Amino acid sequence: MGQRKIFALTLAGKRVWSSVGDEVSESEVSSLTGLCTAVMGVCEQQGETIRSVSCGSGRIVCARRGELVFVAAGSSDCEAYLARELEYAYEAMLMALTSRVHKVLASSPGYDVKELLGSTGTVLSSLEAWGRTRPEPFLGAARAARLEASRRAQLAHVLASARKISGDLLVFGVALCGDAVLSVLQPTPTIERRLRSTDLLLLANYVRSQRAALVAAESSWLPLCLPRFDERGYFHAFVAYLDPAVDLCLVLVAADDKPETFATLRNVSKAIENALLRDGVLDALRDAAVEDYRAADRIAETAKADHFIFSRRRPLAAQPPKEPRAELALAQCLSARAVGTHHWAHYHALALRLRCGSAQPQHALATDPNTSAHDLFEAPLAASLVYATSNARTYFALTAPNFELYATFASLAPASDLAKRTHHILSLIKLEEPAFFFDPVSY
Amino acid sequence: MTEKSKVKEVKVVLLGDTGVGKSSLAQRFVTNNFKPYCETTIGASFMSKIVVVDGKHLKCQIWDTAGQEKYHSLAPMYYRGAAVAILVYDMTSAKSFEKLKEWARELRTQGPTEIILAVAGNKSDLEDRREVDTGVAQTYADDIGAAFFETSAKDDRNVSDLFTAMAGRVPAAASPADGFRIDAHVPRREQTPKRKSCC
Amino acid sequence: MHRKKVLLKVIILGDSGVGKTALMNQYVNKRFSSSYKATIGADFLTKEVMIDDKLVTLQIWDTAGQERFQSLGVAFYRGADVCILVYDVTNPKSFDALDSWREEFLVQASPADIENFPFVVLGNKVDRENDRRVPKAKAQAWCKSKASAPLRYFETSAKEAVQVEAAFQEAAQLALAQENTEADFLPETINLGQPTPSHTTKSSCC
Repeated sequence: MGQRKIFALTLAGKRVWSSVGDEVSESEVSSLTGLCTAVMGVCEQQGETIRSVSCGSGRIVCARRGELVFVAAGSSDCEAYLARELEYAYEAMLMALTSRVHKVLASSPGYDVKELLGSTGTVLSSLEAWGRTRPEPFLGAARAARLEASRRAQLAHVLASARKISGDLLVFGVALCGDAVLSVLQPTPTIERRLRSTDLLLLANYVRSQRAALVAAESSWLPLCLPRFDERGYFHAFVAYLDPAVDLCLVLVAADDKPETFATLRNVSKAIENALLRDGVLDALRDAAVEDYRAADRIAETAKADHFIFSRRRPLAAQPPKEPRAELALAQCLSARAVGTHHWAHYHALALRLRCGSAQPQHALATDPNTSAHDLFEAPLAASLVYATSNARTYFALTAPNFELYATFASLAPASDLAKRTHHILSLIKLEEPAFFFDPVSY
Repeated sequence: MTEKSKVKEVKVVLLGDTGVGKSSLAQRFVTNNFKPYCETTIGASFMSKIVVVDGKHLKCQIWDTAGQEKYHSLAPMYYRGAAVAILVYDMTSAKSFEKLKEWARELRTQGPTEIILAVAGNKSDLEDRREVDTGVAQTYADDIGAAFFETSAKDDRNVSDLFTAMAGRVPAAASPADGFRIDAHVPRREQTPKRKSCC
Repeated sequence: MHRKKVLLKVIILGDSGVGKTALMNQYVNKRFSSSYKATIGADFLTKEVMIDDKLVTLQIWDTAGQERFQSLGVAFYRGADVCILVYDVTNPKSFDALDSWREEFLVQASPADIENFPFVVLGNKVDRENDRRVPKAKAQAWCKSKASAPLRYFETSAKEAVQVEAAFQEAAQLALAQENTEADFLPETINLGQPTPSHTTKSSCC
């Protein structure tokens, strides 16, 4: 079956987007879309929902979301993995179109959403490509850019001030460095309404996918929806690349599209840039852009790991009394540069074992007082840990309430050794936690 | 405010069907670049360039809008504040010329009354695929009181003439006061180590 | 810039034996895809055509098992861009059935604009003119009675390729015209004041 393919169709069977691109003509995909319509139609008549079809080593996974259907076809990929890809594709589509797309389709089911999606289709394509190699979609966390703590504090302060001078027009402010997040300004999160890490990673992806156009313009004004925050309407984002050479980008999000709002945000953006220039923060941000993966690579090297990805669900050192509620924190991740893509299949398999709850701790690492995750991160609950070996490599996954870690070691290490090396990675991350991760500025 | 910083600003908005080359025109003018394949614009983008007309410096502030229908409702916010509207069509597409007429009608009914219009037939490098006659477009432009240009962003034909001529037409009285300015001064943060920022 | 390629969904309805499949094959010729009509009661063929300089893909759905007047269900009709109703000019019963086929389609597909939804009516088998039992005038009168603008009517022969191309071309044209007039998608700006879908209460930090 080869590489996996993803399709987004309307219930009428019309293609909205596909990972194979628009060059492939409608008549070439018509057999597949027609087949999907037929199969789903038959199931629907019987009151059933089709979720996946297996054929040999291949697998087709379907997910219906309102008036849209997402279909993924892949070979070795597991169902949960494909299903997650579809969820991202759906959210990326909402980001471009809002949930209004369902209303439009409900009233005219033959509507050509592909045309509606237009060039925002690249948002999905970029995300799809990302999903194959990058840790963010896998971990459901935004990638944080490394920045010295004092610089981060300055940046946070500048963003908070920006909110004030904007006359409260600024709802969200995001400083990006490539697709990594430097800092975030947000309304104080509540259980009902809050910025989610997936929205943040989708936003980073959105900006990245439009890079060429954004860099060409002095600034841009984009309607975009943050689907997990509220899928019903567009925000309007002022986007400016402060330094295209290192992909330093400022996204200022407002809740209205008035010309005055754009004008205000433009001035706010200038003010931010000036402030950053004045204190030399901009230089530090540029360094951060250049630094990118290096710090994580150094950790991998020191701990003799081939590769690792790490996601922080909430501040590691937080003490229970003042610890923010886990669901209110923004998950952020850190990753060593991936060499090849062999890790992913293994990480996926491990994640599946952990998430399905079928994982039995394979080693006493999680409870060993000398090397325990409790000790490191003061997590009140036990961590789950699994590992697998394959092709003379050991793949390893550890999840705790505050974090997730996946790592690859280039040897068949004994369990005790594995514990030591993992411990090593975790302690190195913790050592630099304030630089690796940001605390969102909430107002 | 010092005298030298007082450069007159001219707000220009580009309108037209998707794919006619609005972004390409703006980019050719501002950066003198041309990309053969250009993603369609999402929302709108903003660019500026200083031109010299009759020895005076004018800052052209250009709004490049998305041609796609789904962004149509956003268009008024761009043209309402504009002194100049450049209506662009693709001279190899009769349909895009029809679309241009819709824009002209919309501007007449909903746009600012004093807005200065230009009609630009882009892609003049594709003469062999021409669908819109120069004469027809010229007559239409005359009818609506618009200046007329046939341009090629690709071959850099008439692009800078178009923008400069339009900027030069803006009467001095219509010079938009910049009335919107925020104090850029951000209080400098003391050298405090990290502190919780919430409340 | 050329518009993106468009897919149009065409549904062919009519009594069994009127020649729906033959018409489709005549039109699409040779590009016959796999057939799973036997099991699920529907089959489709695909054909690319140029309409007004626009490359359009027709996905033509053929139905079967009509003796039992079995409903194919919403899934097949949903989002149809045009419906082709077929009867056999030598078979008055198949002509009488057009009303219920049209009805069936409108109920199942529930198009946004029922008044103006495009139908094309085909009187097939005109190669057997001697056996004709439905006069052309009668069919045309029926077409007139159904909507403010009369439904397009063609007399065809799948066997001798009479008017088949023209009929499908017309159907595609109507479908395309229909598409262009559909409601615009108007983006709405977010309303931060409105309650979140799940909950209305707000809790504050600290």
